[in-house]
Amino acid sequence: MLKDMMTRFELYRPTALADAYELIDQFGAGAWLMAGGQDSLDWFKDRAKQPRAVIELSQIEGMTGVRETADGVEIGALTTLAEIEENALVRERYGLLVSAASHVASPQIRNVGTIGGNLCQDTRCWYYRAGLSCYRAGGNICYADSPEGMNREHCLFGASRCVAVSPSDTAPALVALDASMVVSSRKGERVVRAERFFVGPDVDIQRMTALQPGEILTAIRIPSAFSSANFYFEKVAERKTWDFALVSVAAALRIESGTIRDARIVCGGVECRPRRMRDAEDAIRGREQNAETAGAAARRSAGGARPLRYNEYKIPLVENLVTRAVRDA
Amino acid sequence: MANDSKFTNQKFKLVGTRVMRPDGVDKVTGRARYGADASAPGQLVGAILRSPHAHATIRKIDTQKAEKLKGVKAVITSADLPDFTGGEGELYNVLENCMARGRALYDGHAVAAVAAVDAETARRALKLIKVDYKVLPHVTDVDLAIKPGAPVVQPGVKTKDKKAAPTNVANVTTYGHGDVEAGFGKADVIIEKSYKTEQVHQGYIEPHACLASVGPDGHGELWVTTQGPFAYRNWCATLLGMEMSQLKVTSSEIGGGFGGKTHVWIEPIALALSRKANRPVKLVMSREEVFRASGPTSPTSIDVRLGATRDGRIVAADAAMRYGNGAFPGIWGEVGAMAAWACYDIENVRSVGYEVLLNRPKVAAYRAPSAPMAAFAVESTVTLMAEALGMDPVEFRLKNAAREGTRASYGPTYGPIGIVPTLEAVKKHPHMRARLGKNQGRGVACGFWFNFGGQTCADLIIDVDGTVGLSVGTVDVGGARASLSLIAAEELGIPYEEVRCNIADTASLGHNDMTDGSRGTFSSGMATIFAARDAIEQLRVRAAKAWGIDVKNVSWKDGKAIAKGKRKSLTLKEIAEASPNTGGPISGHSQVVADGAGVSFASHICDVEVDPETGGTKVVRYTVVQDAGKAVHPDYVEGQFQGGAAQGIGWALNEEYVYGKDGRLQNPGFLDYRIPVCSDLPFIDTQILEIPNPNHPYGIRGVGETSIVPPLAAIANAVSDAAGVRMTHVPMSPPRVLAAIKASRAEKAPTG
Repeated sequence: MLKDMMTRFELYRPTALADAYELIDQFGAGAWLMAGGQDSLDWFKDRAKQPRAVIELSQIEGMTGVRETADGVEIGALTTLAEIEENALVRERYGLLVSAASHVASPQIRNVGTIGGNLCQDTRCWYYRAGLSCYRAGGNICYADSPEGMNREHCLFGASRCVAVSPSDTAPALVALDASMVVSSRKGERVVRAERFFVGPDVDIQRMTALQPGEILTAIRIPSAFSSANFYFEKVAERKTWDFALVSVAAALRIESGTIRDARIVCGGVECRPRRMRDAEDAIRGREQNAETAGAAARRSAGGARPLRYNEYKIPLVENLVTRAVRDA
Repeated sequence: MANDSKFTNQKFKLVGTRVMRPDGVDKVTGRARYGADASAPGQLVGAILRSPHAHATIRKIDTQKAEKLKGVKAVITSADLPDFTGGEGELYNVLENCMARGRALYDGHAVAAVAAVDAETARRALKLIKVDYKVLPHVTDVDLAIKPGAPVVQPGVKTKDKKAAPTNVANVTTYGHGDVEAGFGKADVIIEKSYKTEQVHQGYIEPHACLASVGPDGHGELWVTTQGPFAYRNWCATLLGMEMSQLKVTSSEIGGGFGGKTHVWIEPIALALSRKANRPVKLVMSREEVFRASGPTSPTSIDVRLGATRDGRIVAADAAMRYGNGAFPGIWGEVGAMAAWACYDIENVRSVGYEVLLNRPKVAAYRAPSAPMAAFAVESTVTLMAEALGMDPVEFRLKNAAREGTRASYGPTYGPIGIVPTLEAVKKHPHMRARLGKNQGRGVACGFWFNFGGQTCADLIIDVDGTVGLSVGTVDVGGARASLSLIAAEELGIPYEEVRCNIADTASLGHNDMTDGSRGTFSSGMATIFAARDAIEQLRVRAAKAWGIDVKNVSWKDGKAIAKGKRKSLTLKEIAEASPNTGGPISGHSQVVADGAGVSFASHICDVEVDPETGGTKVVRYTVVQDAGKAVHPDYVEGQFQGGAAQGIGWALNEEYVYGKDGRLQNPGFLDYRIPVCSDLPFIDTQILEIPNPNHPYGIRGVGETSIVPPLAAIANAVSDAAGVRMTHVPMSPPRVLAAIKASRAEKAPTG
């Protein structure tokens, strides 16, 4: 098939949310919301997605930048990952997000790619990306979970017909920080906790977020609960830059005189959404931060994992990363 | 004198200096023109329909709807490419690989092609072509392909006996000497190990691209990215039933080839489309097409047996080497078998190469083709043997290394060679004394490559202002224009800046073999020296004429003709300016078969750090020591050393073709096929040794390929050292390293 040649579409660059809603109404299923375009353009070039109208959000006022709020910060969804890396306020309080943002793709992509786009990007399952008619694409088969499937990079948890994983590096960090997503539509604004924003195939097999048609992610709010806590982020990938995580871990621990008061540990690359390691968190609350506690967390991190044919290696990866997160945060 | 290739041992003024490359400014400013950068008036866009099946019979191709689509000017299938090859042999395979003839042999095999007024129309036309496939069983794994009952890729292929049943083993070749079994009888320690390497692609940044134009008079022109315009001309002309002189091929600037641009793929199709449409046709592969349907290197499965005495002497060596050839027979197992033991002096030695057919694309050369996999298996085993004997791996190699006079395992007896000097340099290198940290390991490995010579032709033109134009027929893939200009300037005795080197098209110069086998600077360097010597003869004649003396009494030194005994001289510029009145233009010419390409050896040192909890490997330090014969332009020699090591690191750690069980390639793009990027590579240190090649006036040996031979083994030895478990399967990606560590811990754990 010919690649690298997009099909024709109309490009709109609204300057206000109201205009964007109007365009969404006008084009319906033929509309495509685009932020930095780093994921969108690949879809278009591969012709796996052929929207009639691309609505580019970058000109909408108030969608970029980091603002201090009464309880933490609010980050505009169109803020680039590079801006987040550089922002003094985020650096001071939410080093976990800085670390996660700095592991996304490559510096060139982070200069253009946005936090909202990173959170809303689609899965990297290579069968789905190839434009095959799998469950996620509206078909009735999962190629990755077939006896012929190459599924080294697919999920350990939460499979429900589809075995794809969430590709975002920043999503686990925001779940660990207990962030909320501000979702706007013609009907108004609703705020969704990060943990509920990302959805698995059991909830909706064709979407990876709770965004409904007509809705736009406009901002991310991070509360102060884990401000300046002890953080740990690590991403295991084949390349050091420009690669997606095989498994990643983002952890936020509140530690007082050596004792873990509260903890949120989240893994990426193991489920269709960031996976909270609740059992591991429960196992370490109130305990001293040391290797033994870390081991206890690790032992409770991969329970219920159901490896596919080629991804069993992810189990020790999860355990080892959780160990490090608890020990070294 | 003119065509005497003996080493002169002269003192150089220019050769060995680091001058600016003549193509540099064009390349950094974007002015250089690559394969896809040429256009012609009225040009059409070509596109190729490819098989989605790994193996299928093509029952019918219906192109009627596509032909009727507005804007479509030609649709072709194999019916438009009648067979002019005689129906068998390598050229027939090339024809069938360019476009399927009744059967699709791999995912991506070309089935039909269109030429249309624009890319969108071409794409729509492809969708309108209906192909009726009958899907057949397929095989993509080397070990599975040789099992009884495996699907047969080429029913016409029989290993030896014509009456035997067809198999996927297209050929078996054996090299070596002595009595191997008797040798193992004398061994105190025998080590046997099996290894596997996955298929990798050269990963050149520029996809295959060409602009073809065939006129109604049957004459054609082809602008193309290639390592060998003459070979492309000969193949394309033959496949299209043209006379060679009817087709002119011009090579564009090349965005990397590494052996992958020594075979034709889309070019005959572009010419056939142009001929049918009677319009120029531009055809450019997408990256996905490059991965699926150009020529990656072989996947391999290799068994090695090595025997040594307690005092550290190798007494017997044996290797069975199965190389995947893709869907058509090649010589890759044979080349691997020839290269396998070339570094060592072994009394009883054998290597057997198997050409294994698979439903994968036709394998092409990739930088020292077949040698890196052989070295991975051999050099891993050599290190294992050193460990078993309690010897230092460098000392063990030195003790068994080939030297001048050693009979090579593949036949010839070596002249002066560089394996011992590279190992001595490794021994002395500060890298070997650097302390290793936690989870770090060090590996050493050696590598060998033959280097080629071959047919070569050059023209050297003295312009009337005294500047010089040099035309060669070997494509410049690694800075050869700078090196050849240096050589011409050195020989003539003029400044480097006064020579401009040009790559000639096939109508302007005699035949040149391709730029492959690290032959560019060796062969065209030799032809350039001879052409310069030819020009000097004429310059002396002109000077003698001006002075009215016998040419015997005119010598040439430092760019001047000097009359014997008299204080008279004429510069090249003065002779050139006078040339219209002294006999017309002055030019030198040479045509040679450049024999005696000196073999090349390298030894590499690699330090890695392995994270035992994630399986991730980081290369922390890397050193290349290699014999260059004579480094004409040291920058580009070092660049070749570093480039080979970088590609080897990717091959060793991350790169691999991932085929699903359905026989389709799952990762045909640079995101999922993971070539290392800057952040994955350390600074690669280099050390150039110069052991002159006696068969070249300047002592030059090829330098381009050997550097990719040792890395797989050097890195495997280092990772094994760091992780405490022997890695026998590349790429050593995090999942594989983690699995190996886990398996070794399970093995070591007390049972019961």
